[in-house]
Amino acid sequence: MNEAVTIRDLSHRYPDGTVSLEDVSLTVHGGERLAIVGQNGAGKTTLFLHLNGSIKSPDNVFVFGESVRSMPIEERIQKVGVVFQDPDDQLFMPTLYDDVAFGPINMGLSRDEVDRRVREALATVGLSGFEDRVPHHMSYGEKKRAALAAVLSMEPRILVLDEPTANLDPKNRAHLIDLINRLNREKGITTIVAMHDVNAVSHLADRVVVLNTTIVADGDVHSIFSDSKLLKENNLEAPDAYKLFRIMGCYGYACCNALPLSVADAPGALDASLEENGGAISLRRDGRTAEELREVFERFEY
Amino acid sequence: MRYPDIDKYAWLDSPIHRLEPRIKILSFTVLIFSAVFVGNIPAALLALAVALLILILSRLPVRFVLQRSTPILVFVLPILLLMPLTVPGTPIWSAGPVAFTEEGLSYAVLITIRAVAAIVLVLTLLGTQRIEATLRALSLLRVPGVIIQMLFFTYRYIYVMMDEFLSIWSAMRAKGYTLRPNRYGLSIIGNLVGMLLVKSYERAERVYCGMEARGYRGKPITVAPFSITAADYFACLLLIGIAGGLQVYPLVAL
Repeated sequence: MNEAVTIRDLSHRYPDGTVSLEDVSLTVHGGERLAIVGQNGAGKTTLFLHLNGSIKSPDNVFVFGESVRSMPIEERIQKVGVVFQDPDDQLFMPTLYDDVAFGPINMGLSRDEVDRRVREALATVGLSGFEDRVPHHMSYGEKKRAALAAVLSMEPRILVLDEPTANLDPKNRAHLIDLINRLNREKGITTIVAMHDVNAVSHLADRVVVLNTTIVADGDVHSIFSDSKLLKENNLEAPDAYKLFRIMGCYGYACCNALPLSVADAPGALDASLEENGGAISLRRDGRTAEELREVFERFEY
Repeated sequence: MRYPDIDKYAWLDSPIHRLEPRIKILSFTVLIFSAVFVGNIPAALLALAVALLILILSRLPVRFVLQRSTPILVFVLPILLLMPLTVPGTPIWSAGPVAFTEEGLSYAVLITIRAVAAIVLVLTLLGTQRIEATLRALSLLRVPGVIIQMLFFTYRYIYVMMDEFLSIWSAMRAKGYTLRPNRYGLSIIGNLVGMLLVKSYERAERVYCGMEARGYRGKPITVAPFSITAADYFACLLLIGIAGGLQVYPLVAL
């Protein structure tokens, strides 16, 4: 599999001496769905700024085998598109059309091509007809999608999203998750997301990296979220569905191999355990339940 | 929230709305300069009549124009009081060393009429097309790119600043703050302004990151699909003709 992003021994500190990244080495393969989780100040945003060359590093970051540092800006923005957390930071032009056209114009594309890309990007995020809208007349959810369109119009091969689901209502959150997955599935775009929303991680990623200035853990979603020690050490938590199934385990519920990490996965897990247990699930409280419950809460709650 | 948009009636349809943005800016600018430089009160009244006629043609609501012009008129009105007291000439009324002169009054009336005519024209110009159309047109009229970009960002972020101001203000009100003109009240307002400045600085850094992430290198950043028709040229000639007429009128009248 081709390497979309390769980071070798990347370290960074801010002018005041604060260490934001230390010896970070990471490889992301083309078409992969990766989530980077970590507490506040873990260095997620700083890492992202290295990926698109906003923070220059001495030849530590490579995109499709080429060093980001020496890559011309037009090429860089076609390879890596970063969507920042606050859409007001990213929508800086008076109209949505201008904003989505900003990247393609900087790439030196013809006016017709700019127009085609703007319309296509707006259609992809479901904002066709919003071309003349001004950002301050749009809802937060619309602005989030607009910020994504502004990056999609550059047709990047790697999409980096900083907290894509933060502050969104449930409907807009679900739409955005679906949209990001569609881009990965249909266009083969490699997606890298940084997020705190542990309940959404399993929807957006197959692989999770835990960052705490350095990479603390790297594995599939289940292995990371079932490691309570790792989560506690890094001020993280397991998804609610996972915790509920662990509690059911204290009452004698025997589940399949992998506990569900989201509500959407729960029916599958229940079906599998029903099949294993002859079509019925029984819960009971015995002498060990209280002790086990205490242990689960100690391991997974703060 | 409801924003005080200057272009909230840009969607109306009128001969003034239909003018091509570049033509409108050029001809209105000439007309505004002409109105400001007229030499006597009859010519100034004529300029004001022209401005009001254009305003009526534009179908902008009178209430909107009044609301928008009031804050500017606050700066013009003191002239009406100060000029008659400061310009030397024939006194109409005097009390000791203070004299209210005829020349001063006539000069004050002239300046006020010119100012009102200019304000009406500027509001009609800005109110009959969307701000971004005005900025695009200025860009095509070769106004330096840096100025255009500054105007673009001012227009875009003034609303974000307003939202940030209101959220801090609501937080202050929620904690019982009431504006009082004493030292404490004013120091709190100072803190609010300081906080807004810090927030703006930090946001500017993040916005610049966002711009760099999309390949910004300081070049012009917009496209403007405008086209000028024969009617636009005719309207431009007519308005510039009126502007010239305002300058010629006092000479003929004499």
